Amino acid sequence: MNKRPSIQRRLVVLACGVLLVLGITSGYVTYRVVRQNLTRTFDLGLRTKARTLLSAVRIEADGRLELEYSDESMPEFLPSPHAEYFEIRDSAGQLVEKSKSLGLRELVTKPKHKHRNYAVKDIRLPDGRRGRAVRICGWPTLDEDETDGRPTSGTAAGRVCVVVARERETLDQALAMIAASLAFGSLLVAVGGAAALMLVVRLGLAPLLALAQKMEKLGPDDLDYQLTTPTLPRELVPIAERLEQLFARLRSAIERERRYTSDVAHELRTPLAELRTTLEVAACWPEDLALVKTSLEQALGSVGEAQALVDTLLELARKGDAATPPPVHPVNCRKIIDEELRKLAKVAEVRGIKFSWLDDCPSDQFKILANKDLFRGIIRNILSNAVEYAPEETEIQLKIFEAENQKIWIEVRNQAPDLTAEDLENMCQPFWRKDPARSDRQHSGLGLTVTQALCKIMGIHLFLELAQDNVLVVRLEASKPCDVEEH
Amino acid sequence: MKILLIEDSRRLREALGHGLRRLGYTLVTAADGEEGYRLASTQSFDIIILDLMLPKLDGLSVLRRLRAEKCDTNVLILSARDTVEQRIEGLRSGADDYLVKPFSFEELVARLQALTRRRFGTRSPRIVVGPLTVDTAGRVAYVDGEPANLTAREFAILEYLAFHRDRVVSRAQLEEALYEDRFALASNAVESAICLLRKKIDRPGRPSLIQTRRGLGYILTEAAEMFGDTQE
Repeated sequence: MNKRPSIQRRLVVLACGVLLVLGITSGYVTYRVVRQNLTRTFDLGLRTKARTLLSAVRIEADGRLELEYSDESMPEFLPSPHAEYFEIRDSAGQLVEKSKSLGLRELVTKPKHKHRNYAVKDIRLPDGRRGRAVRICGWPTLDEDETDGRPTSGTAAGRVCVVVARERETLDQALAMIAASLAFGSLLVAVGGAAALMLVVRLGLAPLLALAQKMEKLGPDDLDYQLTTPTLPRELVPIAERLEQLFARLRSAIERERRYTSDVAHELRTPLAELRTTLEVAACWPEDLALVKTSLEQALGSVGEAQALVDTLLELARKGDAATPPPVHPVNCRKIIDEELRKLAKVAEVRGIKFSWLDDCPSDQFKILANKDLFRGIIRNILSNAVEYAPEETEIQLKIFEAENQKIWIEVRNQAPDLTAEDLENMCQPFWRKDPARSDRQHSGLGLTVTQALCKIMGIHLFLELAQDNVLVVRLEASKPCDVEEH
Repeated sequence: MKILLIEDSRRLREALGHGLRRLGYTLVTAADGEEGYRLASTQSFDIIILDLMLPKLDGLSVLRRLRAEKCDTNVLILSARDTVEQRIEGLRSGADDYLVKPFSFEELVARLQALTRRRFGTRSPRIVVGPLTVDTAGRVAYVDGEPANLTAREFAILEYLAFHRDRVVSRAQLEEALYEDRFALASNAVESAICLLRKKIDRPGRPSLIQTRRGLGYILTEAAEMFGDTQE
């Protein structure tokens, strides 16, 4: 099972969580508001009845309190299974009147704040049902006939309190139904919302998933696959473009590697083919001693070529993969060049090649930071190439100088009439030779590749230029040493 | 059989030259594409062995030019290029066979023999003409089941006549097909070779298998001569 975090799953879980919290909160708030309004309406009904009853209380001339009330006008206070209740008490708490539904019982209500004119609370009704009671206190009305139209409030009879109560089961049932409806609705919203969210998230992430699927299907041979399509969302375009760039680099690296492997195979196959054919032909006519002798000589020549190639390849592999750079010290480059020139003097003489220094380069003036042995290998390769490939009876020019960038430049110039600018780009590639048939078996075509690898590990820059009149300029750009002892 | 070998590796040219000549093949060699193309378009060859990476003119260009000029000589490509795409490209350019270096010399010879059979419309490596059996694969001729002791040159002549059995082969044809430089040949080189060959394959009391058609050439046939004995 894939245990990696999923953007889609995380989005769905987070969104569902938020949706659930919002649903519960909104449901609860809605319930509270509805409950408050329903209860207020319920209480308003009780209050209206209490006011009606309070307004019906009269003070008789003798100071007694009288309720002008008929059962017909308020039949709900008559005894019945759903009866409502009231009672009226004077300021002393003495019962003035009560509903018939109470019979011999009384509403047991002990108000917390006796001086308040209005109070409401949940109570247990005399018949055991849950109920709600409203208590209103006020001044009873003085009988007009007795007061001759004077105001009634503030008489000696004092305030009276009317308590009206009724069962609240209907209210509770309504509230329970609303709560259930809200809970069910919230659950439906949560489930439906989750499903909708999953769909929305899936649709929203579809381009990303499609890109992921494309990437999943890509194989080593599909590196030219076009990820940037016109329908790709703009948020994914930078990713796709970057991936395509990486693929292009990978493709080019693989192509280079394939070409190199193919070249190595080709270069090794030719001497192997020579070797095998030579020996097989000799084996067919072993009695022909002259043929056997010639064949053995040919075979040794092929083995020598193959060995030289393998040695160079191994050297290239070792230098190219060098984990630690070689130790570098101040090296007198003029001295090394002179030594190598002396070694090449005979070959150069045979071809009529002459060497000349362009400027006066004192032997101890120019020192570079390099590994002496590796630098010698670089110089040997560059000079031997110049001697072998420059046209006969020409001159090879050499120059050492300090450039403006504080680096030491070493230049070797020779005529190269057949070289082109395109050749310069490929000259350091393994097995490159001017002749595409690579018939020149004296050279492996790896010399400049090795030279470049040696330069790289010592921090020396190798430049190839084709100057005017097809003069090949090979330039080495090396760092000057600090004050360190020369090796 | 006359073969043109276009190969830039000197050692391979020499080794194949030794081997193929010892087997009786007539071999002409070229070290680069231009020379190879010139030879192929001016001389007649039974098979061309062609390397692909050649100086001056690459092998595929040589092949395409020859095919464009309606040259129908069988071409066997001999190359270090070994990928499927490269082999397909070589065959689609008009090559009849493709062999990757390094190769077995025996395999090369077997492929050359197969190409030769294809060229002359023969499927079996054994050609039977009366009491004579020419085993082109084993490079041996049998008369009445007994091996005839032939030199490579004699076998080459017999093989060529066998591939053209019951058909007249001119002396010029034989010289062209079996000698590297026909103009340097002695005028009676073919007649002498045929004479020696007859001595080795004919049996006393039986008509000669190789008959001479005056003014025309030679014919290897089982049928009796109708115009009188022409054995020289």
